[in-house]
Amino acid sequence: MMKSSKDQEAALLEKTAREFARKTLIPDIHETDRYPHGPFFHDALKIAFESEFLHVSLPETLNGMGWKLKPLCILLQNISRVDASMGSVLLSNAAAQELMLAAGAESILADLVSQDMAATDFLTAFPLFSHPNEKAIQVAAQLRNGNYQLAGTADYMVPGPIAGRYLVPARTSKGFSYFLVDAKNKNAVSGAPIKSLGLHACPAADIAFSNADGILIGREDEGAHIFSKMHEKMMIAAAAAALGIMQASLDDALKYASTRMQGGRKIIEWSELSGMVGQMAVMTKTAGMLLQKAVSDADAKDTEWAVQGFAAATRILSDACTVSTLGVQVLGGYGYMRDHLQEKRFRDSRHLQSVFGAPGRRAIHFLNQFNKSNRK
Amino acid sequence: MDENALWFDDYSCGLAAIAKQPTAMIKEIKHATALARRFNDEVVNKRSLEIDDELDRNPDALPHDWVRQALEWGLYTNWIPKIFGGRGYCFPSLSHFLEEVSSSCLGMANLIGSHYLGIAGVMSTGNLAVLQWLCEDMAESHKRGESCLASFAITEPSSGSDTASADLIDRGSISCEAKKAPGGYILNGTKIFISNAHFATWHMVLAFEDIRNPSSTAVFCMVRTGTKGFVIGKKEDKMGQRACPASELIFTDCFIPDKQVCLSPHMVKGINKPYRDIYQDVFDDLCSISRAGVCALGTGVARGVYNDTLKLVEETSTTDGWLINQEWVQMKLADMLKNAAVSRLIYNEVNHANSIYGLFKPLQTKPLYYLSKLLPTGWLAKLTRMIVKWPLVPYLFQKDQLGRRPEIYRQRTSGWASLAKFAGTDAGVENCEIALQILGESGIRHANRVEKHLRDARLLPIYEGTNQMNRLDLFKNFIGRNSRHVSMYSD
Repeated sequence: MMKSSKDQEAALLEKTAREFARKTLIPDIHETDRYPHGPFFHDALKIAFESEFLHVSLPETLNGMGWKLKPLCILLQNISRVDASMGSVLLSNAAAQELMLAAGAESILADLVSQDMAATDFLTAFPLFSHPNEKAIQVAAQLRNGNYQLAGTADYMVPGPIAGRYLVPARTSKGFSYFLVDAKNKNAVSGAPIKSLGLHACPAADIAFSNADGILIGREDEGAHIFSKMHEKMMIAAAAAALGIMQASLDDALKYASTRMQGGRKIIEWSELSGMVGQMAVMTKTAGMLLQKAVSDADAKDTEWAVQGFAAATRILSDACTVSTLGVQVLGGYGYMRDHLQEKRFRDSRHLQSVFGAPGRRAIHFLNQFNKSNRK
Repeated sequence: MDENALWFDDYSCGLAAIAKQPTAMIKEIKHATALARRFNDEVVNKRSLEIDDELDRNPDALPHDWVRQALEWGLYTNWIPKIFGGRGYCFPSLSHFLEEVSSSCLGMANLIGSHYLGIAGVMSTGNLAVLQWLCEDMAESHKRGESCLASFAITEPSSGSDTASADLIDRGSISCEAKKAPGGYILNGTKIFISNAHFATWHMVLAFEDIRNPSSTAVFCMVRTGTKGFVIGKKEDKMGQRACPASELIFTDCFIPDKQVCLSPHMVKGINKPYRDIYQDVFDDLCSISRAGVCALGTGVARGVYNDTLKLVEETSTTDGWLINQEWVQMKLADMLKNAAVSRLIYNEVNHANSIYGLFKPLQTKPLYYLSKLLPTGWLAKLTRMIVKWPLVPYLFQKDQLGRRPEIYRQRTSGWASLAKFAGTDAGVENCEIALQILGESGIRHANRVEKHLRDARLLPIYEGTNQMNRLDLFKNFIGRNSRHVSMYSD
């Protein structure tokens, strides 16, 4: 059967992502995982930017691939299979772009895309690991002489220390919304990179605003609505990055268990260990199927896509933690050492699990969405 | 023997211990706990995050200042018996001490725990003579203000958890060889992932006269840092527990005199059982002690992460009010407290089992316990030195420990210790996972300690026998022994 042009495009993107990860991320991964104590992957980010990975989820008019989830998920899955830090830089930027699109701020993005700039200047930092319902927003926006000015601190902006601008949630007189602030604004000061559990090369920082000018995205009371629109899609994208971690964990566990000997046989021949690797395989394959369905339903605008996508993503993000834990256990002492990448996957999967808020509260958010969907 | 009574005794070590153990031990345990709290307040809490960060920045560095501070607090001799020149705290109090310290920093707790693991390794061979000079060397060094720590070197590049089982090691691939030579042994081979190796003066090393027949030819010996032919190699770059370095030991034609050999096939004359069974008994006895300690480490991290989570939850306000007032959070905090509490109960049970059936028994029978408390250390140590010089005493002691203890006693201590190891360490890791579930972004920040607890805790289900091996040991000791058609490691 002939492959459709869409399939060929997806296959090409997958190949490009894998090549990118193999050639530009693997060689320095142990050093970049030490950021900020080690180097940042500026060269790799530059290549990603030039390859238009940072535009991939935008509409075609903005050099994107048609405002679809599939290309972004292909990138995130294949890049995160090697390094979820780079995957999360792309994810955070895509989340910021998606939120702006959801708010109808296409012209701001068009202006951004049209400028000639460095990769880091193109990045928009976003509070990727928080949910506006979970923690009181600490930034307030006030309208003064026709301009909005922001004051307060935005926590854990990703990738705050290197981004060209910040997309910040701030309280307004009518509720809350999002504001775009130029990182060069002297009234917006980024703190040092926050030392965190994982995703070390996707740095976060707390940003302090003292009457910094900001551009309102959407309307003053629209924050919750536009967050929700972005969240529906980007949870699925986050799950794609988690799937990449699962696949890499499974690959390494299989390889190690098929060669490591204990008690006179390969460890994969012991039934308990074989069952552990089997469990990893079941979860990874299931995640792959769930993601494929979620992405195709989202891109086809299936009536149930948002609620089903949220459910699938919740499952995948959680299972990625289980799979990476099993991966560490299968590798034993070696799995705990930084020479091997499994410990990084263990950390990264848990870090990623907190995308858009505390994982323990996710089921409550899901039920709210589920009920809304049923009422429709 | 009545089977029901047997099961009652298996599951009720704590009840049996009520009458048999000296009540003064409770006071001693309280004292050890208070000491750990002071140590945490004055030393550990101030530096643990900073040291973790420093060792992330420079993985080859060694936290010598921590080793020194623990020395200044007397922590390397407190649990050495008074008869050997130490402070003579009762052994069960070490678990409580380790729980406290690991609630603040698991790396620091493991640094101290690994030192006592080395000493416990010698204890489990029943070699009173080596135990006496080793402990005296440590006590004397510490009096001079010098650290003299021990490590325990078992793991090899191609052999890990299988070492603790005679059945598995005989089918495994090991490489550390001990060749008999006039007046001692010559060691060749490599050990890896050895906790404390870079700090230790004495290393308890397991090697084999015949690597094709290991359990019947095992040699347990003490190697001093600086011995010709012995090099401490690469320091591992670990995900967590960074304050306690794990390193490689390399032996190249390293001569060890007979005086430093704790146990070999040539030293068990008069013990009426195959050396292979003695090998298994040594490991069972050792693990019965060490796994209680690892359970205490798991309990400590479970409690530490609970404390830190509670603090963060109390400070967090959400759009729905204070986070602590949300029911789902209250339920999860209750689970965390339960995990810590249940784990503590289990390691206490192992300690009770060791006190009435295991290696703790000699020093915790009431007359000996109170005698050791009343008499001055110098006098006791001198008396022990004199007695141990008389060869019959060490011989009879070793014969009694390795040859006469009923199998059911060993099953009881070993079974409980295995249960404790996997239950306590699983609980520690689970609490860290629950914390991340509740806290999200606050949980992944290094400054809030929760993520460090998780990185530190994740080693617990791997070392001291993987938790899978410990489940199998529990099966072997408590389930399989009364079931028909049972054979281990045969599927």
